[in-house]
Amino acid sequence: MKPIKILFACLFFLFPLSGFAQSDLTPSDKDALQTRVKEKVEEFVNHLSNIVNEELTEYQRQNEIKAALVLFIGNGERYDVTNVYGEKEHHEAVRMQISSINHDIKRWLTMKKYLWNQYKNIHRYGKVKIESADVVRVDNINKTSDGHYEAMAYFCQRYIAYNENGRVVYSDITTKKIKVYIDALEIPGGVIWEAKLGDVYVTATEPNG
Amino acid sequence: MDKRYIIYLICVFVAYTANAQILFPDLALNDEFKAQVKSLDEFQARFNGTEYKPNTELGNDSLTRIANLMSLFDFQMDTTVIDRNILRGFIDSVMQNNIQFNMLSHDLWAECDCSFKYKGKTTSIILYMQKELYRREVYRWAIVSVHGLDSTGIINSERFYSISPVEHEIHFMGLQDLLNENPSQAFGYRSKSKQIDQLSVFLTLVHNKAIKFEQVEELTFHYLGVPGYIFTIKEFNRVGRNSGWLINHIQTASGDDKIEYINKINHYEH
Repeated sequence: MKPIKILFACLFFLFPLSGFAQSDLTPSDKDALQTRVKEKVEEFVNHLSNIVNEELTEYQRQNEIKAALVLFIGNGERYDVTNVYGEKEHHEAVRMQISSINHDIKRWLTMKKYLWNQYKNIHRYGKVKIESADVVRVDNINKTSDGHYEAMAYFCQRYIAYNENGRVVYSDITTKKIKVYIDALEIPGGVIWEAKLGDVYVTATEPNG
Repeated sequence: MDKRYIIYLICVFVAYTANAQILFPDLALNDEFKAQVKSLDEFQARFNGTEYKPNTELGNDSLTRIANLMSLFDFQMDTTVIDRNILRGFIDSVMQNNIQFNMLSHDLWAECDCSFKYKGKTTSIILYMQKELYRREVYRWAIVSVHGLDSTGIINSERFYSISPVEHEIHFMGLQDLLNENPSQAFGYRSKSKQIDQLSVFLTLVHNKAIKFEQVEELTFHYLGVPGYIFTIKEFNRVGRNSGWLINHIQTASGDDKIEYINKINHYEH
């Protein structure tokens, strides 16, 4: 192969379909499930973006918090799950891992606290912008013992904070993973995939640009 | 074979040093995200050649597969320990034996280096896990082995304490003092022929709320499914395209070496 061809090949990238594992889903089921999960993740990032949108009223931003929490299992509160033996498993409220380019240590906040912190951040900074990359990968789809499915969604998010003069005072890009709980709801003529989001882990945080 | 490696290295260099972010920040953001090995599912797909890392399609199936396999290594791996021949031998073994990495394989172990709170202090305990079939088509992770209870002082498998040889005459009344007043010596009252089952001890401590899980400090996967080799995988959270779940260590291993490796995980070394 000539060097020019090799270089040409290097300029192309490919984002192939995600892998699947350990489930009895048909390919079309998997597509539908993945699409649903992606929608949920995008919905979450949109709410997050609106929570810090200074063009919205306080009331609208507070409603965005409520709407975001509904996307999560337990609606942001402690929750129980009944296992195959009929016993109740207790779970803490869903959490968000927090990272910063200024600190090595990652810490956990409940999702509710995290969202309220974001809400307050526009008072702290002046203006905050949260954007996600237009790529969400969904894989590790697993069937659980109680007939649900669990999967992981991966996305990256850009966070930019400006001061009152419009100058950027903090900015990072964070890659995140969200655990997702999925139920297949049977309806006449098909199945609806209902997805609830779980804990959010930070994979990496790096300076933006 | 050498030629293919050189070609690949050129590609890796070009891809790795390309700094598109200056000109196209959003493209770079997405490009890096796509290049990262974000999940073990993605690692599996790239290892098995069903998915490719961006920029590693070299127009030849075999070459592309090699490029993909090579891209699954941590480029910052200690090359003084792992030489080129090991890497070449590993790639050859995977290709010639058509090895498929499988998350459900019994050749895969997860090593979780965890911190627990025990008597007010943070202590390190290692849990080894494997995936197993739980119910029809349902898999789960299960703890197969626990390490570290010795070093944390929770158990002492080296010391043996005496129960008086005449104790039988008083119907072993002395057990009250031995067990109730000296609980830290409890494991030393067992027969020398009996090994302490660390997994059972650990689960009992958890059950009785004597230790409390804090967090997983480090996660390593051990894979023994490639003939002649053992490798480990870790998640590298860093900037750049060589990030995510990557092979961070590889060693040659005969069949006997692998048995010894498994026995160490399962505490069967004695």
